[in-house]
Amino acid sequence: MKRVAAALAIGAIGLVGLTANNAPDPEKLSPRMNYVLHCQGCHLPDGSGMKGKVPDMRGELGLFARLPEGRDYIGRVPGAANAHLSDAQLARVLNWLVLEMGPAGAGPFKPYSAEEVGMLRRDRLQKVRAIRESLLAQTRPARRTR
Amino acid sequence: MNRMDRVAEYLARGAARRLSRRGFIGRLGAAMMLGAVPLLPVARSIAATPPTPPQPGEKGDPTSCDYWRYCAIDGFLCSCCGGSASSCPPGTEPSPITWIGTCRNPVDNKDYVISYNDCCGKSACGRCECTRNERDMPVYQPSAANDLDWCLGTQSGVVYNCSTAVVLGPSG
Repeated sequence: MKRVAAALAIGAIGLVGLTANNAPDPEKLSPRMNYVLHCQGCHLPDGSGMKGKVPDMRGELGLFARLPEGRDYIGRVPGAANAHLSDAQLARVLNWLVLEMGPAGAGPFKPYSAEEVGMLRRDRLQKVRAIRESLLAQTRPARRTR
Repeated sequence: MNRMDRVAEYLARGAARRLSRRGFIGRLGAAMMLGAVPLLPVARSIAATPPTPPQPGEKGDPTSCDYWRYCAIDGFLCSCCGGSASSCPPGTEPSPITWIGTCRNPVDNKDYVISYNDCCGKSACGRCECTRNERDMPVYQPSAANDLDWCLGTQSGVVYNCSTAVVLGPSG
């Protein structure tokens, strides 16, 4: 706990120097590049994540996105809600990512709008794991037939 | 015809008396061995060159904190610790999850995506400590905080040894 406090203090000091002088403007970058810069560190280039720590999105995200509860989950999950991207930029990343992660042929997907993402991310999820488990249970038949 | 047979027989018997078959195999083996020996020092001479000479299109010293790829590094440089700017020292494991940033390459003045993979599993290297926190976020923004020990993603636990800076490609 002491270490966390120390790290927080260091982080707070670090905040002073946070002038992103030569940072590429996320507005000018493709959704894929924004994924690389803001998500890939933990989710890895192929979305496979890390067993037990970062969920595997492959063949799963597309199924979540087609359930009302899952659609909410994707916009409210901390990784998305906390990302240093505007609502419009985040919507573009999510729209790209849902199709990229598949599964292919999961049916029509209505893209997120900036407004929808903005509303969702302001209501950030607290019980991430429980909701994910419930979504996994709901999508299990679809995942099994793949 | 007889004469030819006799000459051939004479030569063959002479050769059989003078040359042993084992001797021939032994000499052949020795010759092959001699042929192989010069290959070894070549490998050694490559190992003796300094770790990671900059790639084409880069300049600077990968063992210095000022090296362009290290614009957002916080930790010990693996290039001073038995590894290189993009590989872990022997006996350590790269963390698959990383902190990702961008740095501007002064040679072409373009931004590149850099992945700061921590190398884990041996105690802290302690050499070439660098702290250049461009665009580092506080730890409550964990995906962009370089104060975190990214070794939490490895099998070998959270023991941090040093950091690499791998160029993933141009940003944009």
